[in-house]
Amino acid sequence: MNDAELELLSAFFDGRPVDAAQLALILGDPASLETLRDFARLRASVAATTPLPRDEWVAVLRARLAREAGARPRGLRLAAAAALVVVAASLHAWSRWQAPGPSSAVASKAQAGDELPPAPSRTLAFENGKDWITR
Amino acid sequence: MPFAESFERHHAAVLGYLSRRVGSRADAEDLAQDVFLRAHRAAASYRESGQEAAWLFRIARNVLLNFRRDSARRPAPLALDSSDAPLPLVRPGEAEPLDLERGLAALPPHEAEAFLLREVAGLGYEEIAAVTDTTADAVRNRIFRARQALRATLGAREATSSGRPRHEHQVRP
Repeated sequence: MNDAELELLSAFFDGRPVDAAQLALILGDPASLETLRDFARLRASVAATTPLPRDEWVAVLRARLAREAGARPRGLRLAAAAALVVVAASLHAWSRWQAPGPSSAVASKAQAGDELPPAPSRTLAFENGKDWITR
Repeated sequence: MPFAESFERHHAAVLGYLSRRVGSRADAEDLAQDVFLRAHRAAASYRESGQEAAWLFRIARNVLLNFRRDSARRPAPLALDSSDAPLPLVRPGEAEPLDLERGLAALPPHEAEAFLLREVAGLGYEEIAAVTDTTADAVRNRIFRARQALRATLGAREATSSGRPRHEHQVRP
């Protein structure tokens, strides 16, 4: 049997779809049955010598996973609370920025009246040679 | 699906696979625990795709790679615990030991990995391909080559113990 035939047997042994005509031809060779028998023995040997989980190990891990499962919602609740605080703080800051404060009142007045100059409270006429400092 | 169900369904296969890969029950138990804790933390991001086993064994593969990398950096520890004894190599009910462990150790790593994911973890070819980043055809070939090599080991032992010649099997060079 060549490698291609043996590979087909290996795939067939694993339940893979194979060419039926080719398989029939290969199974006509007595060596193919011995090959399948060896594959089955290998599988049995692997199963028989692979350790099974110890009960204590399973119990410890189950408990650990249960603790983790309990810890996760608590962590999620904390994260949700933190997110709420951030959102509330942002909303507060935004509302303060939007509300008209003292500085914005000045700005709005200036904007409303900036088309006309303020009315003069007194008028000074410039006189050449006059001492404006010492009076 | 609750993670507890995944644990119940797969913990034996994950532990068995890791035991085979590292050759020590104690290390395998630590690694399997790591696998399930990581999987549990990542479970929220796992989307149901019908490949739960492949997802778990992919985590196991990463954990194993990290373990190997860390082990290569530090000196080999002494085995002080009886639970760290080598895995049994004797097939129940048979007088002759099947040197499966040695045969597996002699395989190219990707062949041993595919073979054990099939035989111990029970994954299908597509699942193994997803775990090992390859194609189902490559998996089929790797498993076949692993079987052929292990079969040759089995054949050599039987020929030695019984004195009977076996059929000649064509094995890879």
